[in-house]
Amino acid sequence: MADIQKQFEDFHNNIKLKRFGENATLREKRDIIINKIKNGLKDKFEDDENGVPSVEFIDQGSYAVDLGIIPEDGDYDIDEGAIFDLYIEDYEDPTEMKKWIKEIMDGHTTVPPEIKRPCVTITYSIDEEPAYHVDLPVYAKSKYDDDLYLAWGKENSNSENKYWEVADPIGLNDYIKNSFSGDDKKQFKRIVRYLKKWKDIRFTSSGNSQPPSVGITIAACEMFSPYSEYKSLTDKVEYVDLKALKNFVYNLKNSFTCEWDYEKEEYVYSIYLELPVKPNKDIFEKMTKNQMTNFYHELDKLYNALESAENEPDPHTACKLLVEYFGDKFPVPEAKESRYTVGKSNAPSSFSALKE
Amino acid sequence: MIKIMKYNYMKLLSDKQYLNDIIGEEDGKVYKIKFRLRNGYVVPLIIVFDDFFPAHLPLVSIDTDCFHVPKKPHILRSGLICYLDKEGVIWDTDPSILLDLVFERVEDILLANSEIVEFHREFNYYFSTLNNLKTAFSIYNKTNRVEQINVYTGKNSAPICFLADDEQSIKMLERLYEFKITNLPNKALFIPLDKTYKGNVPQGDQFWSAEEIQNLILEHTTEEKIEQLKIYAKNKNNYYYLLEIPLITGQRVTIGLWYKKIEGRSTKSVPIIEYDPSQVFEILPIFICREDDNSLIKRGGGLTTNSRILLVGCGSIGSDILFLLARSGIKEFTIVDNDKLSMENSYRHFLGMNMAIKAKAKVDLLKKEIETRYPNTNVEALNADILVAISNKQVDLEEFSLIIFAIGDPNVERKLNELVLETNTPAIFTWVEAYGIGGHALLVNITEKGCYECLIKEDLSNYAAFAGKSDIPYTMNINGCSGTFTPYGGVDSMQTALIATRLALSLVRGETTENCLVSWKGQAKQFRENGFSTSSRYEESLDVLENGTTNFIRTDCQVCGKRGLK
Repeated sequence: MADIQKQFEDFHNNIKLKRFGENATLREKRDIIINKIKNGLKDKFEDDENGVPSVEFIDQGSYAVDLGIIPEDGDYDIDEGAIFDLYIEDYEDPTEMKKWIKEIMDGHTTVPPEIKRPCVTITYSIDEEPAYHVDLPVYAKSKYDDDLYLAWGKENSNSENKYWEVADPIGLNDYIKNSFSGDDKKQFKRIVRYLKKWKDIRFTSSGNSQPPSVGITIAACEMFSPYSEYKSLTDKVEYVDLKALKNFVYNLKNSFTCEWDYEKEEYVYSIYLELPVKPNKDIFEKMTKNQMTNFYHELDKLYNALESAENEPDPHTACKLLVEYFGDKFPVPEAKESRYTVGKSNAPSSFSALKE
Repeated sequence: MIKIMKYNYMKLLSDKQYLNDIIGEEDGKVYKIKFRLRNGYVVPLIIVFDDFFPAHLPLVSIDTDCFHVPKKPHILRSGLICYLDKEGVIWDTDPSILLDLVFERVEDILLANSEIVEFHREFNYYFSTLNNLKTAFSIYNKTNRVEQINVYTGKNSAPICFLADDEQSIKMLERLYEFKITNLPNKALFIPLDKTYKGNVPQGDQFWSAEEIQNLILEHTTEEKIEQLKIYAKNKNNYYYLLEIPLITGQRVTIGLWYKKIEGRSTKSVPIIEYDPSQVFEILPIFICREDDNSLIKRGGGLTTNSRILLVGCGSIGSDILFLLARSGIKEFTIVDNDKLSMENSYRHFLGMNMAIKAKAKVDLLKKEIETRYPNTNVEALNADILVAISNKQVDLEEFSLIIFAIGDPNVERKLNELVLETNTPAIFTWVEAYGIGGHALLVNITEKGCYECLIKEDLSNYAAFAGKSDIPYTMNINGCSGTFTPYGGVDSMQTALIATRLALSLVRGETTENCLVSWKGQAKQFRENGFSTSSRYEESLDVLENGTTNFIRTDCQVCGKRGLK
């Protein structure tokens, strides 16, 4: 088996969002937006009889749980939940608060803010190319319980597509953050990032054919086990990401159910994974059976590639196999032939006969 | 005096991108280096050249001053890296290219990760590094049963040889040691494990404990065998075991164990499976040199068979055939010849001059020689004329798996051919021609058609012959009638013995399935210079001659042609 842990770790460094690089820029944008919204609300409701609505912000998504990767298309994103201290019972139209934000943020960026079904999106662009965007899901409270509710719907959606749905963004962050600790957590983060990169490389980014990132993250919380083994070369027990990833992919693959499709005359695969916090719905619900089947086959190919890499004694060949799945950010060490000019033949000789 | 090439090793090493921090004297031979593996690890090494580089490869070892010795196959505890099994490799003598070969191989070893498999592959080597190791050999042919066998012991009950509890094995041991063994009081248990052992390979100061051995046996052996083991419970001070362990490489390794009781109560037990802390044993590992027949013959490229061979004629060809067959693993022979070994022919006879001087019967001398060289071979010697021996019923042709006639007498051979065809035993006739123009081996009685008689043409010349028909005899005479001989050399008879033996072995292996004629062809210059001419068959291609032909078969043959008509 080739030891390519260093290559995996270099790959990880190549794809992760750096705390003082891209993340710092995102933080900066986030803080500007937070301030702008807070100030905008103050201006807007200064004279309102109910006073200025109070809003708190929480980091969400991969940024919050430190699982972000550098996006393939260069469009960095950050999710920032806006939690209004208002009651949903007082706001039958859940898009109302979203409209406030859109209104406040209008003119702040060249690309106007956009209300999407689950959030408001603020897009920063460089040379007319989207460079960063901040997604702001909007939450409010209820008079009857302690839950938070997410505002669904666009401005012009039908009334049945405009609703409040119970959600637990804080609980979700905590669930992910507390799944592992110490060095195991570091391996967990690497594994999730590898798979996010794989997803970007192997699936078209339009529509829902990509499995959702949160699905991979939650699956990893539940099905990943840290893996390390003793390495005689370093005389230490070290993490082996290749095996850990392979084992996780195996588990994920096996969590699909399979059924025979009589019309298509082939097996179709589906996966169901419940969100561990409210509203506890299926994370993969938006994927069609076709997309899930494709997801399964891609996992299967990845598993086989990981297995081949594991069995391949040469680090160059092993890494080359993986580039197809993880992209060219995956480093490939020198080939044997390019490093060594080896002039030897295996001409049969009669040494063994002479030995007698 | 060998001229010693001087290389600038410092420069050679510095030129390699993958080597850094090279420390050593400018014209020295010892260098410390940091070797960067392709996957990013850096390993400090010491490389030592000698005067004969590049005929000798440099020694490479881990620099133990600043790095641990990784527990990896091919890395010795001293740190020395055994990076090349030289067998079968011819390397480039360009020093720079050769260094690439060295580091490519060193890298292979340092990168190797499926370590347990590699340890298993080299099980015997690692086992041989154990402290307090004893060495014994085994002539026991393993079975798949638990068996009580003998162990021949020496001073202080140290084991010397494991052997089966039968007469044949004891006889072989006696022959090897050349003295009579009257008593073998010590017994050993042979235990073949059933399940593949996947654990660590013992080495150096890390041998298995009594408990580990017990678990090894209990977890890898069927319950039935464990029950059988218990039958052999004994009260002794020394217990010996011969274990056969299947490894993850698929090989089966044989090791020995010697349990020496140090203290504890006297009780009947099988200590290898009855771990009892109240009894203290010193457990000594025994390295087993497998000298049993199956292992030896396999190594010798031979075959194991129960074939019994009758060899008629023990002259230069016959004696070489006997020697070649014995070397190939055939163990049962009857040899028939009524001649004494004479000094005149000692150059072309297997036995040579020191035997010829004894002026004894060839068969007796050969029996002694072969049985001494290969103690488990049995040679029955018959100092007789073959036709007489057959008519006296001293020899029954039906008793043999194969008969080889190397008598060089066509008239007797024609008669023998008739006799053979009345039996079910295949036979090979073999003879050499004069002046080294060739030799022949004819296999008959495998299939119905084709026999020695087919070769005898109407004009009484031989179909196979490379010599053309001639009225002058090929024999030469130096000292009058008693000195008559056919001029050919030791290489010619040996070459003939080789084709005959190859034919015999391919028959035993079941590869040859029909009667055929095989010949070898030599130079005809000397033959022609002596006034003879070659036959038309001599002109045939080597392919046809060497691969065996059935072209000799005559449907109108007076002997085999009538077969099937009965």
